Amino acid sequence: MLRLLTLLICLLAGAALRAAEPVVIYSAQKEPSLRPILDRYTAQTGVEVQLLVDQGPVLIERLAAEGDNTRADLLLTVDAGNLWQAAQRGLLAKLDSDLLQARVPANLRDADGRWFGISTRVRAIVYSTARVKPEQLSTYAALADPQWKGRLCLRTSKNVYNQSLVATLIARMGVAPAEAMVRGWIANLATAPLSDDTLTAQAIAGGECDVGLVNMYYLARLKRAQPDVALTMFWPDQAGDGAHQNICGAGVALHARNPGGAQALLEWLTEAATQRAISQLNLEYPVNVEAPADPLLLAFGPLKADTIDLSEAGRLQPDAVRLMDRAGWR
Amino acid sequence: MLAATPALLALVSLCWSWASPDPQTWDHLRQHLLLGALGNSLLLMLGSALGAAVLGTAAAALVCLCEFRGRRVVEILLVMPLAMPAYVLAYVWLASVDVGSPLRAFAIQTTGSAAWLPSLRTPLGAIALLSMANYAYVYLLVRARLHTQGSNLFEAARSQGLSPLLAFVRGVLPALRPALAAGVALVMLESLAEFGAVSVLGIDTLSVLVYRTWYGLHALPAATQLASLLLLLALLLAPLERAGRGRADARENAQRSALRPLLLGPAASAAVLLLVALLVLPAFVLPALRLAGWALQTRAEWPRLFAPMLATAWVAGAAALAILAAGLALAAAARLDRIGRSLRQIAGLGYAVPGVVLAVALMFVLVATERALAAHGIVGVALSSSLLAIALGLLARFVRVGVAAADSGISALRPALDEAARSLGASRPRRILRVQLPLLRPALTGGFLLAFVECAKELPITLMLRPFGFDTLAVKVYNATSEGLWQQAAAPALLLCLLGLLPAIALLRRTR
Repeated sequence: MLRLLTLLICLLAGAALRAAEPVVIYSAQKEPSLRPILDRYTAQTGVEVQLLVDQGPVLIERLAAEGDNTRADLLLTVDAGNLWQAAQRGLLAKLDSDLLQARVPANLRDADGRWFGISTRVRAIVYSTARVKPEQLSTYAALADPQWKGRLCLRTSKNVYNQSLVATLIARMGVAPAEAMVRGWIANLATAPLSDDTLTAQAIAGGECDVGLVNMYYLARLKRAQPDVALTMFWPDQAGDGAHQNICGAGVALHARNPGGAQALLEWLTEAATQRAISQLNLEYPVNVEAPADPLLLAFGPLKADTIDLSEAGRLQPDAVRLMDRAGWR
Repeated sequence: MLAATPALLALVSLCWSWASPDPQTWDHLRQHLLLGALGNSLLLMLGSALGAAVLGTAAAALVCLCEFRGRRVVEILLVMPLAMPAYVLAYVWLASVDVGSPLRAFAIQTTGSAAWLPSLRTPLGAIALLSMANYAYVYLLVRARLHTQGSNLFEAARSQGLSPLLAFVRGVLPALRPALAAGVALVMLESLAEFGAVSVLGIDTLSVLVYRTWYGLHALPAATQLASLLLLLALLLAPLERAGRGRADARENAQRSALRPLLLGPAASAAVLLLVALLVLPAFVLPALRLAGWALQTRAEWPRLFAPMLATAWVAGAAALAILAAGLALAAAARLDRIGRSLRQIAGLGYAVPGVVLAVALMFVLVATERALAAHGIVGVALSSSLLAIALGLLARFVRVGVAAADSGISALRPALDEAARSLGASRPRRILRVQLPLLRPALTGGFLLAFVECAKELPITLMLRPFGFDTLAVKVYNATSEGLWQQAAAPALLLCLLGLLPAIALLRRTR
C-alpha cells in the first residue's frame, strides 16, 4: 500500500514540472484544424507552437486567473464574441502592426488592435435543391414567414454562432424586430432545435425540413465528402446588409512571455499564402483579400458579407442570449 | 482532512460566488429558465432513479435467485452498460433513430412523414437513456446483497407457500432496502450532474443552465451560484444515502448455497433471455456495434489513438488510487467522531456538482497557488494544467465511490480478528497492514475498479485541467462530436467502452 502511495506521489509530482516552451496558443479552435498550418510555420521558421485547447469562456477565465503569470502568448477563438470579452477584461495587448492592419479589414479586427480575424465563417441558409427554389429565399427575417411553417430546422441557441448571428441582427434591426423575427423562426420549426450544424444539414437532406441555418464550412465539408448531396447554400440579405459573418481570430495576451513571437505568428497567419492554405484546410473564407478562397466555396456563388463591426457581436451577445430565452429558442 | 480538501475547496469557492450577486442575470433566469430547468432536473432525477431501480433489481433478482440456461453469460452482459458513458449512448442512439438519421429519412421516403416515430429528444427519452446507462449501479449493489442473503430469504418465503413473485416482494425486497437506497442515491446524483447526454438530447436541466449562464451570458458568478443549487438538491438526498448505509450486516454468508433456489423451465428461461436482450441490446450491444461500424470507416486514424488510450489508463488509474486512499481515510475518520462524519458528507457532495464547476473552482485555486509561487521566485511549476490537477479534480468529484467501497469493507471487518492480532502483540501499523488491509482488499478492489471506470469516462475536469497536448479518449470524443464529426468520435468512444469493460467485468467476477 505504501509502495502504491509513493508511486502515486512520484507520478503526479513528476507531471507537475514542465519544460520550457516557445509560442503558446490558448485555442478554442480544435487541433486538427490548426496543427497542419502551425506545422508549416514550424517548418519555415523553426519556432515550435504549443496548443492548449479548450472552450472560449474557459480559456478566458484561465487567462484572467493567471494574470501576469500566464503561459499564453496568443488567445485564439472561433468567434468574435469571446475575443471581445477578453479585450473588455483587459486580457489582450494592443498591437501596432501595419502588416495586420493592412491585411485584415477594419470590421474584422478590434479598433484598438487587440484582436484580429484570421478567417471568416458565414452563417447562411442551407436548403434542399429538390424542394426549394432559390427565388423563394431572400433574407434571414423572411424565414419567419408563414410559408416556412414546419419546414425550418435550427441549431440550438446554446451555440455561439447562433448567438453571434442574433447579436448582429439586433445591431442591424433593433431588439424588438429581431425578437419578432426569432419568434417567427421558432414558430416555423419542424423539430426541436438540433445539437449541431451537421445534423441540421442531414435533417434537410433526409426530408425532415427544407431550410436551415448553418456555417458554410459544414456544408462545404459535406459536399466534399458527398458531392451528390441535394443541398446547397443561399446567401441571405444580398440586397440588404449582406450575410452574417463571424471570425476565427486571435489576440496577443497582455502578459505574454513571448509577445514578439506571438505577433510574428499572427502576422504570418494573415499572409496570403497561409490564408490560402487555411481556406483549403478548413473551408473558411480568408480575411486577406489578396488570398483566393477554396474553389468549393467559390462554387456557392458570389458573396456579399455584412461589414458590420464584429465588436457588436461581442457587445450584444448577452442581449442576444436573453432574447433567445424570451423567444423560447432552446 | 487532507482527503476532503479538494471537495472542500470546490465547495468553498461555490459558496464564495454568492459574494458577488448578479441580480440582473438572476432576474432573467428566474423569469424564463429557472423553473423549467429545475423541473427537468427533478424529473430526470426521479425518472431515471425509478427506471434504474426497477431494471437493476429485476436484473439482480433474475441472476441471483433463478437458474436458467445462459445465466452466467447474462450475469456478465448485464454489467456491460456500465462501461458506456451516457453521452456516447445518447449520441449513438440519436444518430441512429432521431432527426437526421437514415431511419427517419427512409420513413419520410416511404410514408411521407417521420412524425410517428418516437423522438428521443424528450424528457421521457432522456429518462430511458439515463436508466439504461445507470441501472448497472443498482444491479451491482443489489446483486452483492442478494448474494449473501437472497437465497435464504427467498427460500424461507417460498416455504410459507408464497408464489415466486410474492416471495420475492414480501420476503426479499425489504432486506434489499439499504442496497436499493444506496444505488438509487447514486443514480440520482449521476442524473443531477449529467451534462453531455442531456445537452445533446436538448433537455434543459440545471447543469445545462449552468453552462448557458456562463458561456452565453458571460456571468460566471451566477453560473456558480446555480451550481450551488445543485448541491442543495444533492443534500436533499442525504437521508436516502443514510438509509443506504443501514445495518452493517454484510457479513459473508459462510454457507452460501451454490444452487439458485428457483429453477426456470424452458419457456420461462426463454422469456427471461428475451427480457435481458431487450435491456442489454439497446443499452450496450447495439450502440457498440454501431460504434464499431463507424470506427471501421476511420481505420486510418487508429494508430493515433494509442497515446490517448495510455493517457486515459494512466489518469484513471492514478486518480482511482487517490480516490481509494482518500475514501479509506474518510471512511475511517467518519467512524471516529462527528467531524469525520461531516467531512465524509461534504466530500461526497462532489459527486453532485457538474464537473465543469468543480474544474473551474479547482483551476482558480491552483492558478492562485502558481501565482503565489511565482511571486516567491519559484517559476515554471504548472499546477493548473497537470496530471496533479486532474487527479485532484477527479478526487473531488468521485471520492464518494472510494468512501462507499471503504465503508462496506470496514463494516464487514470483524473486531475479533483485530483483537486477536493485538493480543499477540502486533503494533497498530502492523495490524493495519497485515490484518485489516488484506481483509479490506475485496471491497477496496471493487472500489478501485468502479472509480477507474468513472474517471475514464469523465470529461469536463480532464478537458480543463490537462497538460498541454495531453488528450484522453474522452477528450478525443468531445473534440469530434463538438465539430459534428460523429463518425470520427466512434473509434475513441469504442476504445473507451472497451477500457471500461475490463474493470466492469472484473468487478463482477470479484463479487461472485
